[in-house]
Amino acid sequence: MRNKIIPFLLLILSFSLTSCFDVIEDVTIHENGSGSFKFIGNLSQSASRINTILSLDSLNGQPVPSKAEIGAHIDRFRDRMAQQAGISNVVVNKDFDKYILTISFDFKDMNSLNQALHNVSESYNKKRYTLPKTLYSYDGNSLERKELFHSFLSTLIAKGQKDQLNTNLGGASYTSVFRLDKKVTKVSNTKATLAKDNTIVILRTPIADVLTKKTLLSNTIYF
Amino acid sequence: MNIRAGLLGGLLLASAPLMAQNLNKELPKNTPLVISANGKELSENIGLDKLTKLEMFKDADSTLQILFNSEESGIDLKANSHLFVEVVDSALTMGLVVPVTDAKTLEDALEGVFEVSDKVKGKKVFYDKEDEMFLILSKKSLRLVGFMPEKDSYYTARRENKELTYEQWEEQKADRLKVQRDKYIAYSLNKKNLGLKDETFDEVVKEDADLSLWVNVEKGYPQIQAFQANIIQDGYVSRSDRQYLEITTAIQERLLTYYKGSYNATWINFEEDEITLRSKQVSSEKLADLTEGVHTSVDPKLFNYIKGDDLLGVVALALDNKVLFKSTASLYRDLMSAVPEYGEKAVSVFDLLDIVVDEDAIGSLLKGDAILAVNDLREFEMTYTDFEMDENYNFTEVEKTKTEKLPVFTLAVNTSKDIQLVLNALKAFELIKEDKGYYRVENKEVGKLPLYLAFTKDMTLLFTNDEELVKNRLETGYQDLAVSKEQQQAILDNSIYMNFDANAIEETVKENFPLSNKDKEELEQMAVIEHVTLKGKMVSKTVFEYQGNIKLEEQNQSSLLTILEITDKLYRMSNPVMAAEAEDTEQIYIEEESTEEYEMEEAPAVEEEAEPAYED
Repeated sequence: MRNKIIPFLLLILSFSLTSCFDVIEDVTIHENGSGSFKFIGNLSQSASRINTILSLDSLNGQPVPSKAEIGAHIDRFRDRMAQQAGISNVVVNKDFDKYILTISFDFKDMNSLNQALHNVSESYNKKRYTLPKTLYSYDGNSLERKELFHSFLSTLIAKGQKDQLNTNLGGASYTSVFRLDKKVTKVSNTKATLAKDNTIVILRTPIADVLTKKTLLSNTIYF
Repeated sequence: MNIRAGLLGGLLLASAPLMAQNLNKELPKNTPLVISANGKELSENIGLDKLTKLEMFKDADSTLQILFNSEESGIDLKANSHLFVEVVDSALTMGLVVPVTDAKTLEDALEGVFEVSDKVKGKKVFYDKEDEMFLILSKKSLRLVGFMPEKDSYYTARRENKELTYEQWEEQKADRLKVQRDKYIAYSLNKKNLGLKDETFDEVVKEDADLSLWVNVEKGYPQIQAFQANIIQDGYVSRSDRQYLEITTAIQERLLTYYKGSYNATWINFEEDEITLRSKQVSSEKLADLTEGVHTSVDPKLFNYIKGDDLLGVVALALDNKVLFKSTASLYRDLMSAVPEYGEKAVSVFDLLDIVVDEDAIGSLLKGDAILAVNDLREFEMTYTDFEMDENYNFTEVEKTKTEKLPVFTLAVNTSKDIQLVLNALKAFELIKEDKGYYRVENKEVGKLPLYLAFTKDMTLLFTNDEELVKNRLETGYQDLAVSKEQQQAILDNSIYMNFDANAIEETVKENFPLSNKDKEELEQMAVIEHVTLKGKMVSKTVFEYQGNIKLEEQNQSSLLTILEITDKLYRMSNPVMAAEAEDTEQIYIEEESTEEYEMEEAPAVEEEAEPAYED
């Protein structure tokens, strides 16, 4: 089952017909570059279909892991993240009734966050799943979030699944939130909105738009 | 046996003819399974020219090409051909017997294709050195035999000889294959091993059918035993293996007494736009005595809970569980009594169980008749969790509801009042929760999907997601809306019944679910199937008969050709190269990785873990 988890999750998404799920990336950055990172994967709307899939031995030639196996993979991710320099308070909450996964941790500085994400993704020994070395950059005057989602998924999804995935992602959404101590003066991504005294930047988009490049997740936030 | 052998078999079965020239003497004396093809009907209806246009046969190698031109290659298109299976020396062999009109022409054609051609006992033998098959050509027939090579792995060989190189092992493997092939050729040429004489086989091939299948259970069962024993005995035999073999052999020998005279016969006809199947299972008197009365018909009260107007599919099964329970216990008691050393003890345990277990109570709890029905989609309200931002822009969990379309299903089971004890237990363990006259299934595994259990006044147990049924129709059932009288009668007349409205299923899926282009194409191919029905009942004490029917959309051609054309299209769609050619203009939404957005290290080709070269 090793290294089968990501293809399997994609398979679930592609086969859960009217797939409805939400992905939330919630990053808080303080003035000194430290902060906290939170990821929420919410598949609650597709729970019944995921239950059906998990009851199968295999789906479309891919072995279907048990909840215990999926849980073990998530725990392994948590342990690897906790071992990274500059990363602390790693908390993982996996709810297999509602199918909601929450991962949160604190980082010492932006370099620690980038390095940790890169190292942990690289530790899965599949280079095509490896995240770039610099996903976020912060210089005190601006914060840059580089494009990842579209390219990352492009490398993951087998060609035969693309059409199916496109058809079935109608209800899926991606939300990116950046919380800052300073007031934001400008954002490069026109689809992003500002809230609460101009200190929170929110970008919410259908995942299908990300895959078709109607929406880019890259954004530079100026203070 | 390689793909070529399989393709060859498939092609010949599809192209060989009726008006049987008797080829029984070319069939192995001990074969327990023969598939016979009525080639005249098949080739006239399909036509070889249409067959050769199918994509799946276009890749056929030179052997097949000879047979595609069978009129010029000396194969008789006006006789039956037979595919047989036989276990020889504990190894599985498969063969094909095809009649020949011009042996010389065929011999010339085959000589140009095969590496080796020998003349043995007046017959010509052809084979390739690395193939697990060979052909024997006589004046009147061509026999193709394929065999399973002996299990062989470099890893195992290296355990015995650490110095063995892979090249040496390959040479030895080729030698062993040659010895094995020579053994089967000698066996196949020996007249003592040929000449199938079986009245039941003659009876099967006499019937007018495009394809027929004959299985002699009495003859086949010991061959399966020998095949299994060979798998266990391959290599080192431990004490426990030997003991296991002794026990299973004793049980199987006793079981064989129940198979005496048993055989299965199946006839398939490919009419225009319709495929019909008839199959009969003939049991021995001994087994028939034991199982007499097991097959019954469903209690008509169950129909009232099956909604008929939007029915997509229905499956009904009617057994008498009391009889089934008693006959199964008797069978196991007798089988276990045959086990050496432990037989007497096992029988004592069965005798004790007979006193303790109340067969009547168990038999009445679930009487053995039930109907499962799937109806059209209905909207269900489901709850789920969403994340919403509060006034401080923090995410908080919010419970929401949405509607989702799902098929409605109902399982209606004939039971007795004792089932209430089971429901009480489920309730006590909080697996179900009582509502107004029915129960909600509380299992988290089913997520938020509504699922209900109900026990009606007429002693029917219902397991369903049909809210209308459990909330409003438990007392009355569906009455006039219930399954049609015609279908009720068909269910009552049989102890096994299945009926699927394939057209309605396809329409429902197409209208209600988002599908990828590939799924849509596959669905459209399958849409030619309109209706599928299978029913079965005891027609005499020893004979159980099935009748099946697949109704196809009007194509004005043989249903076999329609099925082959669908298979061919699906084959093309599953072939990546052909599929790419077909969709080269299709837009691919997810483009290749862009380097404009960020600089990512070049992703190398996927590195799969290398398998050790010596592992099979």
